[in-house]
Amino acid sequence: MEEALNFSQLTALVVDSDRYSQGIVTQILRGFGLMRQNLASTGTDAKKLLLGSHYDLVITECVLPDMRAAELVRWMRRLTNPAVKYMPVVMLTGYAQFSNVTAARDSGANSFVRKPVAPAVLFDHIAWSAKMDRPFVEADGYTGPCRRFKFGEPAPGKNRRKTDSQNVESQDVKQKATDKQEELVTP
Amino acid sequence: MSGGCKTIRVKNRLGELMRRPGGIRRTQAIKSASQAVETLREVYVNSIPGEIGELEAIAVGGKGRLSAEDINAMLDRAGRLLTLSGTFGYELLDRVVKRFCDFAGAMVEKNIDDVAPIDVHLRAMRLVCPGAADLSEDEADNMLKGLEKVHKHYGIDGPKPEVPKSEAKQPSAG
Repeated sequence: MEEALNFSQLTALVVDSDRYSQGIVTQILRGFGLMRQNLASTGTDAKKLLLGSHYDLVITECVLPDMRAAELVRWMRRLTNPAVKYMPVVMLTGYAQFSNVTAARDSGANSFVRKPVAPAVLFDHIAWSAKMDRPFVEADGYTGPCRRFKFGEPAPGKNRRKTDSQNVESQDVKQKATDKQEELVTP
Repeated sequence: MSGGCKTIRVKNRLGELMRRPGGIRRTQAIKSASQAVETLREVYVNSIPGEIGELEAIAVGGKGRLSAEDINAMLDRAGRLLTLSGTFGYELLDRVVKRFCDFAGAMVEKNIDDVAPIDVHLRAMRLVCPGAADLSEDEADNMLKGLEKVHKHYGIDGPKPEVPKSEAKQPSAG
């Protein structure tokens, strides 16, 4: 049975200069039950709102009139206020801006949704951020959610890698994969 | 920080709030959201011709030549059209606007400033815009082939491959 998720307790900031996209995202969130939303059209306005109010989620267009959203996210990740620094950010990318995704990913956004935004896709991305306990990484060139993680359990079957022992049992493979994952998230 | 890497376990506040009682199941949430978006249809679809008009105004303003700034402004506007055509199911318009974006993006890369091929794309948009007469399958096909010829003439690659829906559903990592 599907797990119920409560959006009514959340406050979201939607940052987009495209009034149609802003309207569509706003309506989708309302449909999910997320009524507390603020809107910003520029990165500068978004920064002001983030410093002045409390939010649980930011949904931002990749290219804003006054800055790239990557710059906004990097600014958020450098703040000392943990409520903003670790806030989940969903980035929206248009058809013509898909080449910006790498830069946006390196800025520390949590996930990416390609426009036009479909309700199912946005629901899955928000739900994913809510369910995944991703640690944060602070390094010289990157501050943001850890990008080394796996979906679900390791692939079934034995000897999937050259380094796997020939006679190792499937359960051992799973345990090794779990250990390896721990190594990866804790350098 | 120099050469260091710190891993911090962060409390998932979003998860905590969303697991509180009184939530909504995925199926119901998507249904409600789709209905909420549908309330925008009339107003938003009616604004499509005006958005194409904005693109035409930029093209006319260029007086035969377009600067990279003009083209980027057009790409920004075209993004709005894609939001509308994609959300409200105008598939043919969506395809034409994507061809336009491919062409305009390549114009910037290749320093092409000729307004004529842009005009062709804008006329194609008018042909498939809501409220225009419906094109037959053959007519639509011919129009898309015509755009393809324009792309080839200017040495611009064909349309980008579409992302399969199964991939689009999977959240992408940040």
